[in-house]
Order: sequence, then C-alpha cells, then structure tokens
Amino acid sequence: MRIDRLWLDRFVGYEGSTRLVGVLRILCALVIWARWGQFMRPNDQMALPYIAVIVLFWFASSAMLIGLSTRLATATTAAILVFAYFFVGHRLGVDELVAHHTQAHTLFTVWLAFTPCGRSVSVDRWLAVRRATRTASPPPAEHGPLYGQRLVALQVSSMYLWTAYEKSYAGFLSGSRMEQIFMYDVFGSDYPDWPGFGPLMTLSAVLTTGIEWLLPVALWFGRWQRFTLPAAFLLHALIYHGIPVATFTVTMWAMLLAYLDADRFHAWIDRLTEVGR
Amino acid sequence: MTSSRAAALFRLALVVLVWGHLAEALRPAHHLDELVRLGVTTALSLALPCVFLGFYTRSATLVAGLCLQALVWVWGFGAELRLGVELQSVTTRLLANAMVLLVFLPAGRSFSIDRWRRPDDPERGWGRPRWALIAQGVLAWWGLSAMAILPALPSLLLPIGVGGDPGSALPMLDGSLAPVVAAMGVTLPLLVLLPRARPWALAVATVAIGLAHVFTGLGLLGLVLLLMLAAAIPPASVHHAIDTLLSPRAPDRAST
Repeated sequence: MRIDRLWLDRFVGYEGSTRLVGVLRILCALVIWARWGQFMRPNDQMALPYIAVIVLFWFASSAMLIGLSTRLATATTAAILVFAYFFVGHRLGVDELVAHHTQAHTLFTVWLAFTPCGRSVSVDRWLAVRRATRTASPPPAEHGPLYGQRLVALQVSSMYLWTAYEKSYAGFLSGSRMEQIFMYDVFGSDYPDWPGFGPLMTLSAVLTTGIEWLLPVALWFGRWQRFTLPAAFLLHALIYHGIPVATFTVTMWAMLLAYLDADRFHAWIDRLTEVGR
Repeated sequence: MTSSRAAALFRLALVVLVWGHLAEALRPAHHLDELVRLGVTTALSLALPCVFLGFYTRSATLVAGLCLQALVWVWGFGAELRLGVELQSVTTRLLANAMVLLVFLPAGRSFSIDRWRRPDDPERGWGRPRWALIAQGVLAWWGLSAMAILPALPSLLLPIGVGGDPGSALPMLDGSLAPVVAAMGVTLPLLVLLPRARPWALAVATVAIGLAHVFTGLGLLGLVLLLMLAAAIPPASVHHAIDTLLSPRAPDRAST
C-alpha cells in the first residue's frame, strides 16, 4: 500500500463507531467546567456582551455534556473558548486564560466539533432511537467520519514532541532541572541528605525525555498501545502526585483515549454490558 | 435485584471528583515527615485507580473510604484549623461518606475490570438490596439537603446586581426570592419520594444547584451535590436509558 493511500485511509478517511468520540465529548465538557468554570462567572463590573458570552457558554457546554443538538453545542463551546483564549487571554492580556491547559482544552473542543460526537451516548441518540422505534425501523448506526478524533490524537503527539524537544538540553538531561523542580515543590530549602538523590533525578530526567520522544510516534501503533498507553497514563499519574498541575492530568488522560481504535472501543462497551445478548 | 449500572456510573464520577478535590492533599510533598499520613495517602492513591477501573472494586472502595475518613477525622478535625481546613470541609466529608456508602452498592458489577473478567454475570445487585437501597437513599438525601443553602442564594447574588446598582435590585431579590428558595428546600426532598413528582423535583433541584454553582463559585461542591442528587434516580431507569443508548448496531452501517 502506498504511503499516501495509508495516510488517506487511516487519517483523513478514518471512519468507525462514534461511541469513543461520544465519551470524549462528555469528558471534554467536564474538564472545561472544572477549569473554565471559575472564569465564567458574571459580575456587575462586566459589560453586557461578556455576560451574554458567559450565559451562552453555560448553555452550550451543558448541551454539549448531555449531547443535545450536539454538533451546534460543541461548535458554539469551541468558538467561545477560542474567543476567550485568543482574544480575552492573549489580546486583552488576561493571564489566567493563557496556559497550556486552556490551550489544550480549546483545541480539544475545536477538534471534537469536527466529529459526529452526538451520535452516541447523547440525548440526540436517545431521540433518534425513539424516532426509529416509533417508525419500526432499525436504530441509526453509531458510525461516522472520525478524522476529528485523529486530530485530537495528533494534538497529543505534538504536545509530547515539543515538550520532549524543550527538555533536550544538558541542563535538563543532567537532572539539574529536575532537582530544582523537586526542591521547589517537595523538599523546600534543605537539599535531601539521602544518597542517590542526584543520580535518581538524572535517571528520571532521561527516562521522562526518552518516553516523551517515543510517545508521539509509538502511540499511533495499535500493537504497541498495550505498553505505550499505560506508560503515558502512569507518567501523568506521577506528575499529578509530584507537582501541582490542576486539570492537566485528567485532560491528558481523556485526550489519550483518542488513540484507541473506535470500533474496538465499541466492542469493549458491548462486552461490558448485556446489550445485544 | 437492582441494576448495578447506576452505582457504577456513580463510582466513576465519585473518583473523578475525589481526584479533583484532593489533588493537593494527595501530594506526598506535603507530609514527607509524617509517615502514617504518607502511608494513608499512598494507600488512597493506590486504591482510587482500582475503584475507578473497577478492579477488586468492593475491597478497593472500602480501603479508599477508610483512608478518606482518616484524612477527614485525623488530619482534618484533628489538626489545627489552619492546617486541616480543606480536609474538614463539607466537600471532603461528603466525598468521604459517599465512598463508604459505595461499599454497600453493587458498583463493581458494571463498567469495570471485575465485570470484564466475568462478562456473563448479570449486571445486578449482590444480594443485599435493602442495604443498597438505604445507601442510595442516604446519598440522595445528602444531595437534597443541600437545598438548605438555597435561602442564602439572594445574598450570594449580590455581586451581579442590576445595571451596576445592586442596592436597587437586592430588596426585590431578598423580598421575593428568599421565601421561594426556602420553600424549595423544604418541599423538594418530600417531592422526590413521590414517583410522579420525582423527575420535576430533581430537575428543579439540578437547576437551582447549577445556578448557585455558576453565580457563587461553589467550586466542586456544586458538582458533588449534583452527583448526590443523581443517586435519587431509580437504577432501573438508568439501566433502561443505557440499554436505549447502546442499542445493537444497525446492520447497514452505510445508511448513515
């Protein structure tokens, strides 16, 4: 198979079950609420257009969560986040809105708007099944184009790639930067007196950077995912327990699911439930 | 026997909320010099993924519940107020108590590794339906008892005001809204007991807590209360809803 054909079939023309993107939609909406909810509170100092945007945000993200008019709701939520991140955050200089967390949420939502994420686990699905039942026709297929899911995975790969690139310098690989992080976040003023702290920091720096160079590519191969996905999940669990990362760990966990094969995920859910037996 | 799907969804959401609320408390950096607390938080850190994934669910839930209770009572109320304020908060206590009650629900029978290993087992309770019913009732009651915060809503709405002149709007809010929300606080828990009124009572309670969440910055407490409210939804309804959503794949995939 020619490489361009492979690219078209596996990425641009990728189709499959919509259950996985349905689950991604729910996780994305919850993460957005957890992180952006604190910024989306009206007060009497705000101009009316901003209050309107905030009201629209809560309506749209709620509809996105439950899957009501899902495509429109997801696109509206994405548009509001783009506005908040680029205009209010970057242009108007509201620093709290500019972070790698908020950028990840914004792009995550944008890519989901390109998927049929309302065809599964949604009110839209519920209504469609009821319509089909009334007309005695089979329920609509949970199937659709999923290049948006691939875009989410591509975003995760690019995040790992550039964070690995940023860490690939002598100061980090020697363990010095890791020591500084642990001194700042864990130990405080006194350098730990237990032996092997320095070599351990060097080892963790090299391992972290090595994993982050490996993951952008290795996560795409289904056969390797039984090793690479747990490694990625574990990496973020360690980061969660090591340093204050707010919603970053759960965001990455959710986005990592985008590497899974959509049809296999569908079969897993079937196996986990009694449906269809 | 009740369906286990509602309890399983409750389990997943509860763990996510614990992770969200106790991120700082679970970091070993804060208690490297307290070996017992380090042991408890390590046990909790190991138990929570097991509860989330549904791996030896009941045992893991019991461990997580006991560890959370220890955090609340030993390092929350047992510590100086300054140090234990987060661990003795309403949110932490609700999460800890809910985790203990989850032990009595069949939370590992659905959406779990336990179920993956025994796919032919029915997605039903584990033989103690009365205990499960009591646990579910207590959870729902906690959610509804949160209505008690609603009378405070008008004063909490102060920051939004009207037209930059909150003084002119607040007397109306205080005068007209307070009795309404106070009445809601009294009547909603009773209405939930009536099957016909239950969906409406839950909808009103959800909207009320949602508004309080948006306007007053309840933080995770709002989401915790909504989760508790969800415990009032009959498990059979949740089971049926999931059956509908996961209906078997249509034979002609190309029809979409």
